[in-house]
Amino acid sequence: MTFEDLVNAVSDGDGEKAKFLTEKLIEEGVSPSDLIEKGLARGLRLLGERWAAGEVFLAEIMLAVSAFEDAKEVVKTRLKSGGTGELGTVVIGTVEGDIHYIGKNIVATMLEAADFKVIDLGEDVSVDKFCSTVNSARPDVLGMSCLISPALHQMKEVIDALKAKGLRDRLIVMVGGPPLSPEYAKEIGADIYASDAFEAVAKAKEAVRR
Amino acid sequence: MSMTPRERFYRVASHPPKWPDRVCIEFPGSSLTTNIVDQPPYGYRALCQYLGIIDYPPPQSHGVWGGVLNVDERILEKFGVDFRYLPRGEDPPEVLPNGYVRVKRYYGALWKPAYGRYSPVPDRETPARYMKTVKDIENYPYWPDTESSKARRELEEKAADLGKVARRLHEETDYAISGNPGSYDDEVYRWIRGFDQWIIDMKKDPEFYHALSSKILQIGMDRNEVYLNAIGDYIDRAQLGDDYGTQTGGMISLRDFREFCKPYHKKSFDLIKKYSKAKIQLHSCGSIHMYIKDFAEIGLDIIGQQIGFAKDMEPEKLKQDYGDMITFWGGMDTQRALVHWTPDQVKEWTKKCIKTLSPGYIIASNHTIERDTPPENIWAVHEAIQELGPY
Repeated sequence: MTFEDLVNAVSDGDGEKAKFLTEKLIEEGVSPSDLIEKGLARGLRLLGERWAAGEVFLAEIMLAVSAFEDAKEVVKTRLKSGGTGELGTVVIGTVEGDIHYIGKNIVATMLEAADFKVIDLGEDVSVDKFCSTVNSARPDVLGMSCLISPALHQMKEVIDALKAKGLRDRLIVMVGGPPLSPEYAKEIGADIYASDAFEAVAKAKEAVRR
Repeated sequence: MSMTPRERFYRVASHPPKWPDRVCIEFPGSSLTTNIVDQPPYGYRALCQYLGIIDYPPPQSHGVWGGVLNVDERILEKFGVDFRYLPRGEDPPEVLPNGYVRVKRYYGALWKPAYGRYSPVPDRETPARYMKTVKDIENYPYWPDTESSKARRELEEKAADLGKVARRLHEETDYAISGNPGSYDDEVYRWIRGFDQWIIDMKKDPEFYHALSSKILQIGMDRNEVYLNAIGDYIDRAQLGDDYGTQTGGMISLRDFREFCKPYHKKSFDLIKKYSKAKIQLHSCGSIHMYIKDFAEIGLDIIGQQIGFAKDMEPEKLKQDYGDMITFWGGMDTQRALVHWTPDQVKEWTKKCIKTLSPGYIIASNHTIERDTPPENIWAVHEAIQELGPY
């Protein structure tokens, strides 16, 4: 058994196999950071390559994300560790008035796999909730998702409120969702627009490293 | 030569499409995915006011989707809409103590309040999530009774009433008459069981997937056979809905689509064709380019709607790849173009869609026209059509 088997179990969306292999590797004394970096996260990165090549679809991504989460839970439970979160902290949520979450959840898991600590506020998140969490958690990145155009204005309201409270300056604001465009993201004062989860991770990594 | 709306529709919906006198119009429409909401700051009332119509009947909105069902006839006439609609005849949703609603027509699916109307509940709250076995499927409490003589009699009475409306519209108008006799919808599976479980069932427990899909199809066919018997001779378009696309691609691979979805749609289409000469139209959100040929193979005539605003859905690409085998419907984007663009930009886009996709094109919104769409931009679509004039 090698890391390669675990990588394949995650990228194939086989949660049971990913959990089993993770248990086995723990028994062999593999460290949590190696389990995540060389196994679970690599599985998702491999999926990203297949996605870019048009070989996999939303279904495969959802299953792989689920397999990653299942196996990561084993790491957390057995080794009391869920990764180092050394790239930084991301607060993420779907804006108020919108209860869509599939895309947002995929982004959150992909960010975790990339070694961000993720605070997921869920859906229908108010301006106040975003601001108070940014104030208390002091994240490096704030991610906001929106699927329906009538709720889109909430993103600008969050950014404006962060500015008014003096919380905007050192924060990277990342936005995504079907009604958005790169131009709109720029117009409302966001730093990053991402069209899918893989782009979101790549751009967030690049931004925090600057 | 001027054509009646019905003649115009049948020409654009034939394959390959034939040139009508002008573009076929369903904008702003009054059906489930081509409609306008009644919500401020804009929406239906702002449009009425913009057009100088002040004595419109109180708008009646769909119980969960929110689109206005009784769009004033004067609006449809002003825009030159070629369709008229059969009522959907749905029971109003049941309001639950927690503010959610349960929809009988969708087999107990739950909606929760969101942005001024309702949205399907998150996957974790769906009512059929607990199911594990075929027996669970049979015992699910929200399947409608389609077998008892009382239920059958009620269904036949409703169908007969709808048949009278359809016959009157068919005989007394020359519009293309639109009905909704679709028997299968993967969306219903997702609404009662959750989007994630739809995928997990498909990939991990295909036997269960097929058992539940077969149940959904069978109930739909039992109901629609009665309806089609009553309305089949009088409708010109059977409007169906489902969703297979995201903004950036299909939800599932073509292989999965062929194994898990296509056979059910084929049976639903076959039933319509058995009872009616109506052209079959399907709505799907998102990028569905990869499925279009397969849909055409099983008898779909018209497909929409997010033309121009999802991957591989550019008008030029759709026309080039599938223009001879299927008719396109949609194009007027309700997330960006109609909301954020200027009227001149909207006009330019409208003209591009018509010029590129005609003759096999029905101009329509890409989905519900939301409350954030200024009436100037809705009217700009009409002005662009007028400026282009007849073909």
